[in-house]
Amino acid sequence: MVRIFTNDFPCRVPILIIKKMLVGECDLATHTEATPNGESLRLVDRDRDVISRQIFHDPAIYEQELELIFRKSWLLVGHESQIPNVGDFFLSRMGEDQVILSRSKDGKANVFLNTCRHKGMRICRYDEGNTKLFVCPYHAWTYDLNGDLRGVPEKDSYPESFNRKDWGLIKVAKVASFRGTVWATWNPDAPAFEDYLGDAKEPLWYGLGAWDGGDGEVEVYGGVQKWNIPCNWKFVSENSGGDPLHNISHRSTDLSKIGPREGVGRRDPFGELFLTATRNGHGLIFERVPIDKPREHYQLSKITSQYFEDCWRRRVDRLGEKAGSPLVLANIFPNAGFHTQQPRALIMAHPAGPRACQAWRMFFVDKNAPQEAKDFLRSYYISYSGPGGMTEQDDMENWNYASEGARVRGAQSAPFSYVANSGSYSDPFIPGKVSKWWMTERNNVAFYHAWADRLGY
Amino acid sequence: MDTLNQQSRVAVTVENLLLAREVEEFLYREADTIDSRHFEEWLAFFTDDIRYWVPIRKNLAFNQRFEDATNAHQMAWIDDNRMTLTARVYQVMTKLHWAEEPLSRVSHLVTNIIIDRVEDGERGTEIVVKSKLLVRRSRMEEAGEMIIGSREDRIRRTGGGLKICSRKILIDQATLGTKNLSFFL
Repeated sequence: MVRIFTNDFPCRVPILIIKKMLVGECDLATHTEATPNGESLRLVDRDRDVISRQIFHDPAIYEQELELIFRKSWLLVGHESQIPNVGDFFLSRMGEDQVILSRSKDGKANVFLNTCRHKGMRICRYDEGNTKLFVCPYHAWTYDLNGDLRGVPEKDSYPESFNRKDWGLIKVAKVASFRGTVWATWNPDAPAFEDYLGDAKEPLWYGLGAWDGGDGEVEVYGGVQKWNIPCNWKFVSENSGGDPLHNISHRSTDLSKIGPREGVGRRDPFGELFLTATRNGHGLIFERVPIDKPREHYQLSKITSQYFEDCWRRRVDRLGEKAGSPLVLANIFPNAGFHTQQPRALIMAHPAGPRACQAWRMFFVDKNAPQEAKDFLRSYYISYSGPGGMTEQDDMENWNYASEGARVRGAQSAPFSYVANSGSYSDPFIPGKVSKWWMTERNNVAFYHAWADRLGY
Repeated sequence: MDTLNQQSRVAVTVENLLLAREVEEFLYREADTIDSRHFEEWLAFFTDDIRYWVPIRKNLAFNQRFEDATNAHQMAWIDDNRMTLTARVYQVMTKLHWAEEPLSRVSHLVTNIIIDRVEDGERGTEIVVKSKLLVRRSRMEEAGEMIIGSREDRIRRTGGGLKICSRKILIDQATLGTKNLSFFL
């Protein structure tokens, strides 16, 4: 018998998709293949904490993700510091689609699709810049920084019924700004962004902000690392939000001692790690450090080290005990990842097919940090992160071949394991059910529960 | 911007032809050393004050055509000094660097070599050399990935022979087609 949905969760798949499934356009046969133990296999098995390999390669499931996750969720599109002035724009992505993030005359950040309403041409072909108007190179339909259509050539040839107001660029339903980061969603019914963050709000506010925990601005370094990884996007989300288990991936980096202090592995030592996930599937990883001791970060650069030490003292003064539990890593569902300490990075894993992902990395720093500190951090970040980074290149190797592994035909009935669980505690400074460093996959389990909720599985 | 460098700033003399040949030989040997996987030996081609820099290219408007790469205060694909370059070699030697274990097969094709100018620096004579680079990496059963770009090397004449003290590589791709840069460019 083919059981399409698990019994314990309400069906949230739109009727159209269910119809497609029933007529065979979506292959659901393997959804219910028997496991080696003879049990039926669910895509996300909430009882056994195992997850079908199918969700990492199936084209029909990928299409559902684009529609039900990437068209419905809040997505990270950029940073305020990338468009500081009126007329500034930054070309970004939401799911597979290219969007323009622009600063209009009213000072607002706007997000709209980079496709002309006339014939679909890209109206902007520059990664960044400043402009008053976007002129389509195909037939010169011209739009302003709000995405509104300002003019068409040979206006007399258009019928009177042609109303420019009906032909603006396609805008997102909502835009939100949060501690410098800019977010957008296609979903008019999406909750307010800060409600969407839920328990992630406060830790992320500090994680994305000035190092001293105050209101000071941060800025993104110029230049975005963009590269294509042959992997499913969810491997990147797992990595950001809930996978501190993969130390073996980075053994060679730790042995090479690229950290910002004499003799340390890939970063300065951190405290014990604690993980928690929110109901929306956001994964957060915190550390616990004593507040009465200096952090001793970045000792290879005296100026940088001193700057961070001063900031740390101010942070402790501001936050008291709470300062001792800072956010280290996070993934905001579905695909916005954050390194909030070393290095400090915004991570986007844009889906580009079931087994393809376009990764973007942007790096941020306190705007008021001394130039030497900015340059030192820049060098360290580059040595660590991105395709050339000594740490992350090994991640890409693993995500690449794990994605291949997900597709192995003979293994379709053997789900992936997410059973590691170091328990569930409550903590005075960390929200939700907390599991401890480091053998725990509770955050990723929460991610896939949210994923399954969205898709109705 | 000065007039186009259609004409060499280095006069065609027997001495300069010998210099060109010496520089070519040096760059080919450097490429051969890395392609034949002699990583530690490869480090000897660089000075202690080496800057090995691979900025990021961008799609920008025509009037920014000469500044379409990130600058020294912005991000880069790679920006190594002697310490990090040595760490990269060490990382491969750990045999635990999964992106290069087993090792990729890599070929460097170095071409269009131009001796741009010869300068007397504080630390000795430095030859500024432009070249084109094609790097192909084949890994596992995959046919391979390719990176093409332009290089500008500053090669210093030291007591220990020619050594590269500065290397800047401009990759043609703005969005990299390779999953990582675990191989040396």
